[in-house]
Amino acid sequence: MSFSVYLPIAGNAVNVFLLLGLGGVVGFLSGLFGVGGGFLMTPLLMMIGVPATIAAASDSNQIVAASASGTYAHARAGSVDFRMAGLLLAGGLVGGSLGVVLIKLLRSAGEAGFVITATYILMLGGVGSYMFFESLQGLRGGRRPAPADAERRRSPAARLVESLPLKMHFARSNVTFSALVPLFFGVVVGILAAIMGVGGGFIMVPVMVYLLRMPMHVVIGTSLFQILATCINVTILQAAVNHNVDVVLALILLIGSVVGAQLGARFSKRLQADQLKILMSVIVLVVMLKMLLGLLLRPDVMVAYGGGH
Amino acid sequence: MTGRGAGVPGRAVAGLLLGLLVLAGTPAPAGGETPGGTGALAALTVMPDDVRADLLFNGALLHVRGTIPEGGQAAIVCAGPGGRLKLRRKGRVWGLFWLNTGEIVFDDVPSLYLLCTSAPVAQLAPTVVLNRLGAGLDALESRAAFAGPAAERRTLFGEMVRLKTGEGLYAVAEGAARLRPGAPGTLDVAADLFLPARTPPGEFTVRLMSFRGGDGSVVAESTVALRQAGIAAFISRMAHERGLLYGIVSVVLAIAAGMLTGVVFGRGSRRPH
Repeated sequence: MSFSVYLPIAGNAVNVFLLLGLGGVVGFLSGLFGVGGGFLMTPLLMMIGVPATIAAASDSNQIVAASASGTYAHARAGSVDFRMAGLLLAGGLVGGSLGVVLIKLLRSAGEAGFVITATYILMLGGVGSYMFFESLQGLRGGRRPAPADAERRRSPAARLVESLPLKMHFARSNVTFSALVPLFFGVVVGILAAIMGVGGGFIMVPVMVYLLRMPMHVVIGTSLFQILATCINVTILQAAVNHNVDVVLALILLIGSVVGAQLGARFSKRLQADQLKILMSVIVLVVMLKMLLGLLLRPDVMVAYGGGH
Repeated sequence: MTGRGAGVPGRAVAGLLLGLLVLAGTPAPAGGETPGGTGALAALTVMPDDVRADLLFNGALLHVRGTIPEGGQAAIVCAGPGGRLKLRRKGRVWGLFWLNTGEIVFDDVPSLYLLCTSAPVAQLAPTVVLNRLGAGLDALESRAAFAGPAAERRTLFGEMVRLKTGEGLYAVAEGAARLRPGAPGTLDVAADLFLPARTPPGEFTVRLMSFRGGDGSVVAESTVALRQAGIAAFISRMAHERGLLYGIVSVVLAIAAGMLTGVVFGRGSRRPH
């Protein structure tokens, strides 16, 4: 009895339990940290033989399920800042559409794989290191209940954010700054979502926590809502433009991930914010190192498929 | 997941003819083919010859049976259609990163190449004969046209073979074809070839070759087809022909599954952090 399933778009068979396990682990992290988990899922799928572009597109579809589940839970708890999410979303839709077109161009040039890997390493390295050192400071500096309550540091980025026009108050998060800020990050995350097959939570969460100084629980709910909307857009566009969403792959992953996400959301209540963040940053850095080693170590085979299928 | 294709009436007729010929005490021609060379005639069956890839498809084992003249050695090749293969070669960039650098192109390389022989390939026949028949990886290389740095042709072809071998799309099993005395003057050949799940759907040619006294020939030929079927075929068609609708359905399914679990797990108190 074979426990594998044939993925019609990827054109390969993969073990069902492996996919369920991947979905479960990534979903758990998703529920724990309020991220889609795509930054882990796409590279893991590539490692088990799913082509990069199909892994990224199908993963967006899977994230729709995990984040729908998480968003529902957080919306019930009142921890979604819909005004913030709306602006992030507006930017995300524009960015996601740009990203899908960009991937199409890169695929025809045969460079999609490299761009995906390089984008991952840069983003994961930057975000992971920043989060790691920030939370380490937080843990060392004694109790720091939540970043929103912490004293605002006058970093150049923070000064820039404060100087922008179109100021807006976000009641749920209890912060006030320019509407351009979430719009800008929405576009950036939307592009990354399409290129990397991620919801962008692992970038958006630190941006909201550190730059926008929103309370952690609102950050997670808002991030999940924004991820949900961005990934719906990316999935539909990837399916319509690039034909690389494997719904069988996505459905099996999501069975694992929706269960994992719920367990993660429950477990997250037992950890403090800084502990959560340092754990998250370590995971981000490990994935980044794995990908970096892939670029630094001599490959087993000195040729690769290129220029599409 | 796999099944026999049509052609039953044809086989019945062939079986009848075969019976008559055996009664007449002559060797049996297969499908009317009487290739020259070693002078013997052979039947070739491939089971299954019509492989369907549905959701539970995990590759297929092809049982190939045939006959060759007594005293010879056999090779069975299952090969995909030859075509252009574009590859990126990996090279060091800035002395640090291994990246895809230049593009190389091989023409006339099969998408699938499964070879099973009764003896080491090099002992079957001289290189010129092997090349003519397309038996062995060296023969593939000799046939392939190459666009890239000429000095590295051999190395890069070897790397391409390693890439394909890693995926199971190229496989050479020397000595794995079994020979057994058959009808007078013939040897029965039996070999199992594994068609991996990642084989691109299409039609593949199966050839039985016979080698004796430094010469060789194709003594029988058949085909095996791999196609997506059932739900897998439906999904594939939807994805490629009605992409937008397919995307929307995928999203709706995902939201429904996510919300359903949210509701199931959300019973009772829910207060993140």
